[in-house]
Amino acid sequence: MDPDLEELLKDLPGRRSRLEVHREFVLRLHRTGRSYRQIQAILARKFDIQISTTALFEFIQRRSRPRITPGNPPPAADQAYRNPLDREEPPWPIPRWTKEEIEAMRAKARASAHKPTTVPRRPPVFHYDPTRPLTNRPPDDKEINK
Amino acid sequence: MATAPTTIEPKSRVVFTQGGKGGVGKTAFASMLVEWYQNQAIPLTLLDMDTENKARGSLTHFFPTARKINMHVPDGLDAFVDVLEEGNPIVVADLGAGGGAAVQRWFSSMFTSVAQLGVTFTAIGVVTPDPASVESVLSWGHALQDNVHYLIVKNAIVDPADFSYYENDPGAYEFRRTFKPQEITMEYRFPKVEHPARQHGLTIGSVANRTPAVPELQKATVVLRAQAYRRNLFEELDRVKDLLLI
Repeated sequence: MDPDLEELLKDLPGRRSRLEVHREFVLRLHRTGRSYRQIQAILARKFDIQISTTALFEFIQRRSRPRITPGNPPPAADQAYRNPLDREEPPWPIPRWTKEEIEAMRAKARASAHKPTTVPRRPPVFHYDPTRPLTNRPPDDKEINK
Repeated sequence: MATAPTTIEPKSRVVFTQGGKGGVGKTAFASMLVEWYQNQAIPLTLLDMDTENKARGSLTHFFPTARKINMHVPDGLDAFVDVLEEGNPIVVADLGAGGGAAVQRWFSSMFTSVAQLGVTFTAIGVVTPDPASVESVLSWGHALQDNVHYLIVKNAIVDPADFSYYENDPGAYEFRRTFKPQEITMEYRFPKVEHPARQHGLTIGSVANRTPAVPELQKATVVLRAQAYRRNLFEELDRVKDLLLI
């Protein structure tokens, strides 16, 4: 920026609200449940300050935020919020699946999604050959144990 | 006993005589079985699926309330399930000679779904000294596999009765080893009791109770024989009641 313009900015007075001198009083009124219109009326009656509701609202909202003061410094860089996903090593143990395990889980999911709707038939447990003539001869031990 | 066909809690049971060989005493046994149920006041529904048997030999002849069902039409065996919806937990069905193919088709397409409803099946195979009766039981076992429980009735149609084909044949041995069927014996019944009772459509129980107004069935020896047949068979049925009740 042009040095002349920077010099001009330095000489400009800071923008300061008329309510700044009554800041604590206004915020206390707000905290104790007074509406903006009631605060507006009190300011007009007590201090002869005419202010719009919108301006009063912005003043209160802005002053209600935590302020960085010498007694309330900002968090140090290493304590600032960081996305856990950006960390190289997470502070908690995460189970690591092998590729084979992941592929097995995917295969299982695919199989469950394509389950057959019919129950497979059980294989027969007994077979009878009608072409074989029956016999009433008692079987010997070899036949029984066969 | 065969492996339980399903893990679903059983709610009803269909007990049916295997068709196949004719004249082995399927209906005679079925009528005694019905009397056993009635003796215990167990509500049941009777199905007479023996469409080929003449009127005097069918279950309807002994129990007029039995419903005549043609099992040879495509959905004939659906009656098993239809009648269960009416509330009686037990169905006794007397199948006629033949019919194995129809039953096999029905079980092949319907068994899984029906089993899910809690319906269990007991197949009754009647064997006699005639090897053809054993062949019939084995072929039904081949068709039904372990989808049913098996009850084998050794019917002594002659005295003494020789069941060596059922006891000694390797195929029959394999059948017993695989399905572990329960076996009971139906003792030889004298013609003087059996024939007139059948002719008049009377059960052994009614003869034993002296109810029929048929002179030849009111003789003391006939009544005593009928009482003995009933008592002995009921004892056998009590022994295998797990296959007959839910």
